[in-house]
Parts: sequence; structure tokens; C-alpha cells
Amino acid sequence: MPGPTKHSSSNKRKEIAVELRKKLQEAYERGTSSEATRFLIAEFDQLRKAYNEQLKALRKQAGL
Amino acid sequence: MFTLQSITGEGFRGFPRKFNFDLDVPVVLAVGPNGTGKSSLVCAIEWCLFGADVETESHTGIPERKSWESRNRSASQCLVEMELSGNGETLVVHRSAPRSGKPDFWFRVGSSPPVHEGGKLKALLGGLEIEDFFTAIHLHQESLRGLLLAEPRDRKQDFYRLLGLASLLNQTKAIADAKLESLLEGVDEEFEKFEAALQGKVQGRQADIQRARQECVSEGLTEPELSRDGLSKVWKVLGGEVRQFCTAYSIKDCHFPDELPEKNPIQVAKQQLQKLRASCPVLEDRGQVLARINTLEGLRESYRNAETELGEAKAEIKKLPPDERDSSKLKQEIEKLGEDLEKQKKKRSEVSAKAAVLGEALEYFEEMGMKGRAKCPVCEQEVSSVEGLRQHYEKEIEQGIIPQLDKRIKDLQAKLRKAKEAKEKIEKLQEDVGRKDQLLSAQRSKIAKVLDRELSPKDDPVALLSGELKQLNSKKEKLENQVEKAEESLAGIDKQIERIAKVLELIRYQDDLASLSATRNTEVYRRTEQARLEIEEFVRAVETLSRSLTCTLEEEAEKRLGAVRDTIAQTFERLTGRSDFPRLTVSPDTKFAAQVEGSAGVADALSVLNQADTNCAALSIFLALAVAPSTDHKLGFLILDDPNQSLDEAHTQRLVEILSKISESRQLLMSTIDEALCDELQQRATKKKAIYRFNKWDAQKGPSIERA
Repeated sequence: MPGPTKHSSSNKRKEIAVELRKKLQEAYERGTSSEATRFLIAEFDQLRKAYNEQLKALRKQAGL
Repeated sequence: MFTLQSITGEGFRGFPRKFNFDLDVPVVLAVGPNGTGKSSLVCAIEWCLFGADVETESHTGIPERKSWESRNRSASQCLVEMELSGNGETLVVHRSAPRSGKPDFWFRVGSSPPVHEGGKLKALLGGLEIEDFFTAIHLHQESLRGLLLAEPRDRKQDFYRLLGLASLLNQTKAIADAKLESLLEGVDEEFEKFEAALQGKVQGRQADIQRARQECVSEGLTEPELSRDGLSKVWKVLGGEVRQFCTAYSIKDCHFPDELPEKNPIQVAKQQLQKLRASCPVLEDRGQVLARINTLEGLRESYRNAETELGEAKAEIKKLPPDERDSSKLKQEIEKLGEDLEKQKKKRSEVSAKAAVLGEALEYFEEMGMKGRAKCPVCEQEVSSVEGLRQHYEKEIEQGIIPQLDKRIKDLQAKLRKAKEAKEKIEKLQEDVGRKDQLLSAQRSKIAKVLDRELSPKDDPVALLSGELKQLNSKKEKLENQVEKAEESLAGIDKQIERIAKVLELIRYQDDLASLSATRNTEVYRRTEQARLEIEEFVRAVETLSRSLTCTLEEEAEKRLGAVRDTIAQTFERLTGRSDFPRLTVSPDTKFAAQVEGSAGVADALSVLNQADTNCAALSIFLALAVAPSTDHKLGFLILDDPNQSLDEAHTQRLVEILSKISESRQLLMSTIDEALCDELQQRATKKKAIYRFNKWDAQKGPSIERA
């Protein structure tokens, strides 16, 4: 699935936000705000992990 | 909505011992002087629900909550267990913290198993955070004043909580706490670092290419040769040179690749060069000649040294006096001297014995007074008298024979010692000569072996060696020209290999630069950038969500505040009874700053109200909002801590009226030092009441409590 471009439409962003709203609410109901914060950081970390792997491969490719 | 049923425990703050309060009535009053433990009852509820968070100012907003201790210092453990009731179910919350050991927390709904996660209790109570509790449930004096005096941002949050919008507020707080923007900055910085490193490497490679090209040119390589095709031609030239060398020196085993190998061409070429050097007959001959010269020169040197050392050892013997050069003669002399010495010692011994007898006899004769002739028993010489014998004894024996014998013995001993020393020395020198002679013989044997001939005693090994060395040096000189020519050819091949290596280095740098420059067009780069954009997209979506939540929060706050605006105004009017500014208003438009309205116009509440009316304003807002139907949390009780502080009797009576009304919809737990307020509420409130009177407090026993 192709990823977003720099000029992703605001509609797309809103879609992600709506989905996030649902998940954030669920996390909050599980354990209030700290759980919601953890959820957001975990989501971020997941993306970050995928990015880190790509960056590692890129560094290896460039010999850095 | 959950209401309080009971609270039990021990070792909590002002309660060193066990305590138990039945709270299953709509109005619970804790009354008594300051310092009797009323607040400990209220704090026990907070601690049971939120644990150690109630011990900090950051969570409670109460400045005195610094280094706050929940456990009573004389108690071994701190334990609070609370029972609540709501929606037909019983909720039991338990928390304990022993002096040493692990704290424990659990809650249980009905007969279900205990749950140990505090977050789940908060969720069960409608997302109740500690901040919500201290804003909407527990009317602490600090939070009461905060409604009017806090910074606009904090005040806004207090109002949102009072308006039952804690869930939305806490979710916006959760988003802010995640600090995703700063995490995104970290990602961007990391990518920028990568870009900078890539750029640095590109520049480094460009400089390498420039340097390598310059070196190639200075090695005489032409521009067309500085490419893969050109390099193949250079390689072929090198192959030709190698083959030519092999032909010139009749080297049969020559396998130089025709085409430039893909892997390690320089290593292949260097190995070939090494092979040529090892197989070249001229170089091999020269090597053998040099090795032979080396061996012979070494032997000649060693032989000369051995010869010199032997000569020196012999010269040492010659330095000795002639009578000390013969060890056998010295041996005979030692034997003779030994015999003489023994004889003299024996004689000396006999003389000593006889002299001793004579000495004693003389003493005897002299004591007896004997006179007349006598004969010396030592030398048998006749003496005319004993006196004469005495004189004879002293002169001839004591001063004559004995000293002479002693001197002779001493002389013999000296001679003997000298002879022994001389013998030892000559033997040592002879041994040294023998050893060096053996060494010389060994050198001769070696030379004979190397020269492959027998050596007679008349042969001079040095001369023989020198003769062969002369021949070898002559051979070496004859070889030199050929060697020089071969070395020149090999150096030419080596130089050609070095030139190929330089071109290869240049090509490697060019390939590397091409690869680095193409990095941004690779799939890996595209995926990395995509992954980075996905992170950014996520953070932007969270920002959008946060803005949307804030918008909803503000709209909902406006709506809910609108619904209770009149209640706030009426409560304020009833509490204060002011005619100039009877109406209190609060609006998001003024960032929730309280304003008063009246015949004199509109004014900021804080600028015109006295302290009592300021408290009334805060109480009006709190009480109107706390009992509003639209709340997120599920706690159906309010805790009021000295609510009539700074209020006079008239204000207090009006407050009682309002509290009586509130007690119809919310359970009230009120602590106060004011007996009058307690009595008034007891009389006015129509709901069932429990009154706990706190009297004297004792450090060992805790408070003395009576239930009225």
C-alpha cells in the first residue's frame, strides 16, 4: 500500500484522526490519561521502529 | 453514582490505631476543634482512591502537600479500606503500605475477584483522575480559591473538570503529555544528521577522486587509461611484459591472466611478480652465491676469533715464571714441602714435650734447693749446676731451639701455600687453553665440512676460505649485470602493477561516488522517507485530533455552563444577599474569570468583592456545578472542608440552606470546626445524618471520637 505523500489531503489526515479518536477513547477508558498517553507513545514507537529499520538499511547502503 | 458506605483502617496519619466510620447516610458531619483528626478522615478517602499521588502538590494543587506522610509514624502499617455503593453493587477499595515491604492495592465489585490495577478503578469511576477529585468532589480551601484566583489556564481546567468534562480534558492532556511534537523533532534531526553525513561522504569521495586522478596523471597514465576499458589495455601490456620476462629467463611456469580479473587483480599480479622473482635463474644464482659468501665469511670470522682466543690463553701461561709453568714439578715440590713440614712439626712437638718436663724439673730442683752438676734431659749437655741448667734452658731452649723450629715451620707453610696457588693457577690456564683448542678444532671441522674436504694440520683454514671467497666474489661481480637487468624488468612490472592499483582506486572512488549520489533515488531511501512521512502524518493527525477535542471541550463547556448559569447566579445571590452586585456570571469568553453584575454595572468579581463574598462566589460556582446532572465521573458524594471559612453567621445560615438542598441529590461529607454550622445543618437537613464529634487527640491513641 503506497504511503502518504508530503501533500496528503486533509481528508486523509481527518480519517486517521477519527480512527485515533476511537482508540484514544478506548485507551482512556482502560486506564485514564496515562494509559492514553502510553497508547499514543506506543503508536508513535511502532512507526518509529519501522522508520529506524529503514534508516538503518539506508545507512548501511550508504556505508555510514 | 457511588456513595460512601464505610471506611476502616489503621495507622493512617492522625489515626495511629484502628478506626471505623459508618458513612451510609446522606449527610456525614465531622465536627471538632483544629488538630483533632477530622482531616485525616477526609484524606483517608483520597489516599485509598489515589495512593501516593495525594502526597504531592503537583497532583493535588495543595501547597502544604510537600513531604506529606500518609503513614502514622508510630504504626507498623498504613491501611485504609473503603466500601462504596452504587448501581445496586458494592465496591470495596483496599490500600495498604507497610513500614517495610510491598504496598498493596486492590478493588472489588460485588463478589468478583479483586483487581490490582489503579487505572481500572479510575476507569470504573468514569475516568476519574486525582485532579478531577480535587476539583469536583473535594472542596478544599485551596481548590475553592483556585476557581477565582488561579492562572487562566489552570482555572479553565478546573472549570472543565467541574463541568464534568474531565474525560475530554484528560484526553487532551494525554496528547500533550505524549510530547509527540518533540519526538517528531528527534526523528527529523536524525534524518538531517543522515543527510549531512551523506553529503560529507560525497564531498570526501569527490576529494579522493581528485587526488587519485592527480596521482594517476603523475604516474604517466593518460586520460583514456583512467577507465575500465583503458585499464584492460594496461593490464594486457602488463601481461606482455610478464610473458617477455618469462621468455628471456626461460621460466616455463607462466600463467598470467589475459583479461583483468574481476576479483583482487592487484593481488593476482603481485603473486605473479613474486613467482617471477622466485623462478628467475639469475636471481636464484645470485642468491646462492650471496648465501655461500655469507656462510664462508662467517666461518672465517669465527675461526679467526677462536684462533685469537687460543693465542691469548697460551700467552697468559707464558707470562708466568718458568718454575710455575709446570704443574707436575709443582706437585712434587708440594709433596716435598709437606714432608719437611711434618718432620719439623714432629720435632717441635718433641722439643716442646721435653722442655715442659725440664721446666717442671727445674722448678722442682729449685724448690728443693738442690745444687751440683746436672745433665740437660733435652740436649743431654752437661751443666755444672741447677742454676747453670736454668740458664741453659732459658738461653738454648726457650730462646734458641724452639723459636728456630717455629720459624722454620712458618717458612715451610708459606712456601707450601705459594706452591699450591701456583699449581691451581697453571691448571686453570691449561684447562682454558684446552677448551679453546677444542673450539678451534670444532671450527676447523665445520670449515672442512663446508669446503667438503679433509683438513690436515698443515692446512690454513683461513687461507682456504679466503681463496674460495675470492672466487665467489668474482662470480658475484660477473652476475651483477644480469641481475641488474632482471631487477630492472621486475621493477618495471611492479610499477605497472602500482599504476593499475591507482587506476583501480580511482575507479572504486568513482563507483562509490556514483552509488552515494544515487542514494536518494534508491528504493531504500524512498521507503525511509515514506516511513518518516508516516510518522509526521501520525503526529499531524494527533494534532488535528487535539484541536478537535479542544473545540468540542470549549463548545460543550459553553453549553453546560449555559445550563447552570442561572443556578450559579441564584446561589451567589442567596449566599451573599448583595444588592449592588447580586448576579455572578462565568463565561468561557472571559477565560472563566468570575464577574458580578448589578445596578452599578459589570465588574471583575475579585476587584469588588470582600473576602467573604469572594468565598461565596467560589462556593456558588462549585456547588452549582458539582451537582449539575452532566458529569463524567461516577462519585455521588461531595467532601466539604470548612466551607464557611471567613463567612459570618448570616452567610453561614444561607450556606446551610443551600447545603440542605444539595444533600437531597448528593451525599455530603463535611468537616468543620464550627459547632453552629453543624447544629444548623443537623436541624435543617431533612435527610438522615451521622455526626462524628472529634475531641482530644492523643499521639498514642489518636482522636477521641463520639458518634452523635
